[in-house]
Amino acid sequence: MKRDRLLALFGRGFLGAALTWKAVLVALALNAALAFALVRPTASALHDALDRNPWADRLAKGADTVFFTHFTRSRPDVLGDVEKLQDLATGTAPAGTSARAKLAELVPKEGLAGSTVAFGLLSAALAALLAGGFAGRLGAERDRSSLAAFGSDCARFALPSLLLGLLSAGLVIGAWWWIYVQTGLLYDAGDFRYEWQAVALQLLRLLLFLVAAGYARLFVLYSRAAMGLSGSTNLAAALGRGLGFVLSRPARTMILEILFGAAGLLPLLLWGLFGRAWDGADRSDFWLLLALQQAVLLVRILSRTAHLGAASAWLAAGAGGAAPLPAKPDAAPEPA
Amino acid sequence: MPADLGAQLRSPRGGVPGLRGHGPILGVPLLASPPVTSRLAAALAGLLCAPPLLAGSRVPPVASYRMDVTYDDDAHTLAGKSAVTFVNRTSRPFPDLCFHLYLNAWRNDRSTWLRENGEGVGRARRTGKSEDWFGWSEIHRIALADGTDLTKGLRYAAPDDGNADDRTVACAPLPRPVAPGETLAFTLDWAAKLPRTQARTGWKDDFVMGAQWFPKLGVATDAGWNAHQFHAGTEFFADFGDYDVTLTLPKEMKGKVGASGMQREEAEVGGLLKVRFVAEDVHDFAWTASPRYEVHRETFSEPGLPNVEMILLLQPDHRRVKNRYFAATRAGLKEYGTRFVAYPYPQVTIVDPPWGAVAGGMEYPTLFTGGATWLSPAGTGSPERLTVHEFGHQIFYGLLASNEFEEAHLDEGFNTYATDVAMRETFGDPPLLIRPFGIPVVFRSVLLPSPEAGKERYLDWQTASRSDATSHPSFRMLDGAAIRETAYSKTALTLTSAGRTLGEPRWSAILRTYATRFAFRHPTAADFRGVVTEIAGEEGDALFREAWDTSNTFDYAVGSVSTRKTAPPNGYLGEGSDRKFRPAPTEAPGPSTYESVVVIRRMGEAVWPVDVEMTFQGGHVFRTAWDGKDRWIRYRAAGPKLLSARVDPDRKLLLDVNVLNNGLRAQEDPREANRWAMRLRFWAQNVLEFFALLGFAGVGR
Repeated sequence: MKRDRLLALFGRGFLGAALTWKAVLVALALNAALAFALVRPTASALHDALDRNPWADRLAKGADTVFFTHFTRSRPDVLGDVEKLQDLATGTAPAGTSARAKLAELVPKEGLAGSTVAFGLLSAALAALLAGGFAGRLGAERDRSSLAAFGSDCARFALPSLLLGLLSAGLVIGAWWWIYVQTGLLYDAGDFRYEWQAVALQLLRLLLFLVAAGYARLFVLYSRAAMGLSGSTNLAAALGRGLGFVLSRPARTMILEILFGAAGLLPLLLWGLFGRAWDGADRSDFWLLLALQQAVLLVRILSRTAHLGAASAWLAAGAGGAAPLPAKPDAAPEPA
Repeated sequence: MPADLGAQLRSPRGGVPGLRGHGPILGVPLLASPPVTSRLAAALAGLLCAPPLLAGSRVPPVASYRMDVTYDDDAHTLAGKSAVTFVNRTSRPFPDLCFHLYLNAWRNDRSTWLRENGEGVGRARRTGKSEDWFGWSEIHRIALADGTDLTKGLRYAAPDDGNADDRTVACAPLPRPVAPGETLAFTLDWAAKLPRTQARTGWKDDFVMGAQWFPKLGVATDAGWNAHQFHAGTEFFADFGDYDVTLTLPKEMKGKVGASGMQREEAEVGGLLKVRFVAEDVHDFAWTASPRYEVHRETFSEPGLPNVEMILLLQPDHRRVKNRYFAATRAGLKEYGTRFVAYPYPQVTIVDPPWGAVAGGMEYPTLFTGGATWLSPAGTGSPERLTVHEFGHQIFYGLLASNEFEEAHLDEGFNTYATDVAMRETFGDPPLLIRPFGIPVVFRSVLLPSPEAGKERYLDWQTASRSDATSHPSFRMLDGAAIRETAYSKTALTLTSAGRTLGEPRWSAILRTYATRFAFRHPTAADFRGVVTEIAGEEGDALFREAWDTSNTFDYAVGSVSTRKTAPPNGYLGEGSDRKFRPAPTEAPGPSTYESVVVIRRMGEAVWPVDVEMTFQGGHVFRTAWDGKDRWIRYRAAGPKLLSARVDPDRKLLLDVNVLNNGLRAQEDPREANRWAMRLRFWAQNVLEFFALLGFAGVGR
């Protein structure tokens, strides 16, 4: 497939995703609700610590590591073991890690850190559930924006979609554990002559993990798209079709994934560079910043949905016929 | 045996050293309890009049070594001959000689060091069990100058834990004791094997670091030999003397050898390299060699301080930080020289160890190892902080040669304090740096304030454990955390807190007096506190009594604040016929005056004088001092409305384990918490979206 077709798929994916805007908003609302619930205990603890504390004046001038050090010590229940989360995220082997270390030992279980893992897994499960609905709508020829039809698809594809989500999560976590973590325990980085050699090997392990995780997700994504296109809940057939499609186009499917990945991360990157914090009092500023923040999340959710849409379109085109054009929204029914 | 007829009889811990070089050592006379201002004035006058310490011989030697050693680069073994001269400068006879054989710490896993390291007492990361990772040290022959062979009487000793398998201390009885003032000369034939580097000694690839590598006498004291076993959590202690060391090394090391003291000769002999170093007035000797070193030299020159030649042995992949190494060493020479005592030797060698050598961050007389990473963004404090710190040990360890086994805080804690000061003055507070997957990411808007940054583990330890007082012998503390936190962070924070509490003039005088008075000696904590009492009186020593003699926790808090409008009195007023009943006012009185009450609490067991500050409407600030001894104190005020109260507003007491209770506002202001809650929610949304990718199998890494 030529490069311009990849770009065409990229555009069609977003177009298709845009048509499911109501469902995308539902996904955003669920994400916001989960985040609100996750952060609530910590926010409450921060109010306890700061509302009557002159330390707030220092924090207003900038991040104050002294405050957070004392906060985490005086309220260890609030944040939990943040170091474990940081180790997981930055690829640092926690002290004392051995080849016999278990994954469960590396995961924090208390406070915000532990809740993040739990809520994260819940978010993954909900995303898997909604993915069935998106697959159904993006594979359909009409009523793509219908929330009722979306809900119906969510219910119809619930079990296979959850299984696909479980498969995806399992493959990615497995790739992390076996390709990144366990390989790191096979050698001592200090044995290298130069530090850059150790860093290069670590980055290579990370790259291999990302590639493996990427293909694991592609496999599940195209399986899901196949399920949505066929309208059938036959998981085995969907998996077979998805696997075959990805294996026959390994480079191009990965390129498309990278494109959608970049699109999803770009607004977050821009926010990191240019975004600002609320002053805590101005109500109009609050709503503006909240809207901008939700716009960032919206683009991220839209990107993953668009990838599914592009996958559906590509699968449909690959089946021999032209990919169905997106149905016009709110099309009037034909007269009897 | 011949006596040293000219020797000046002196205990290592008392008296003023005799002179063998240029310039006297400054000694501030001990005054007999005059008022504080007189003591301070006398100390300052002494300091102002004293010439700076210069390089050269400074102290009559106690243990001097002339060594001829051959290093086998393939087997990593050493074969050595030492001619040792021991001068008994104590007041007691010595019936034996006791030696440290530090390399036996890695002889087998039954040693005290390896057992303790396995229990988490030490910090060494030991990854191997093959032969490379083990070392040893043996004395094959010990003989007096008249030929008397003492070898058969050599016995291993375990004075600390009775571990019969530990061979890091060995003693040999003498035919007759060495009397006070006598000199004993003897020779040692010995051999050793360096392990793959651990605890900053050993080899890795073609790099070798010879530290604690030769049989070394213990310290002769009036109480006998002070020769502790090698423990995983503590370091070393030795007597001053002169070293004359000839090393025979592979010829590839030519021009690439660094050591304590000054290089006197280097020549190729019989296909090998012979290099000779001489170091005077030091209490240890270390050396290093690697054909990969790139050797750089610069001169430190600062008005009022002696010039020092700096030699940097640099790894080729660290060329980018060459100038930063020199800049940091200069900062150390300048800051330590002006605040404490001038570095007295003509040369200092900075060793940049290779990656994975685990030889960085250690000090030896006139030589120290730094440590750089491949990618070190500027302004983040690496390698600067480590370089300044390890240079600083030239003062706190090299000159003030305290007993690191028993009082580890005297070198580590004092040096950590001094490093904080030097870094802050020269480089400012560094930004937050993390290394995900080995790649540095700098958050320049988040600064790590000195000296609190990096000391969090001490506060954690104080809250959760506080097992040992700082004054408890270090090697006998409960665990590695106790040794580390009391030695480094707690002592550094104590010194900073004391400095802020006692005030700059007194504090500067205390530090400079201590450093100059006890240079080239073995100071103890009692010596330091003697100086504190001399200059700051009982008030000063009380601070250290609380902080060092107990493991009690410091925690001051604002217990409560209240402020309410003053109302006219309600009830009977006046006497007799003038008695009238005044009812409670139904409206708020006109002019606004308030009655405010503030309660300050001492929540911890330890006592420290603190300031209390109350802020009132209209910008009025009232500040008062409290001695902090009672469990609480209540303040009442009448006047403007109270806005907030703070205890220790200037953060003088850095040992306070909970600063969040150090202030209270009279009224709530939720703005800051709202700001952070909104930030957290946004971060949480993004993290949850990453998790969603697992289930959705979409994208957006």
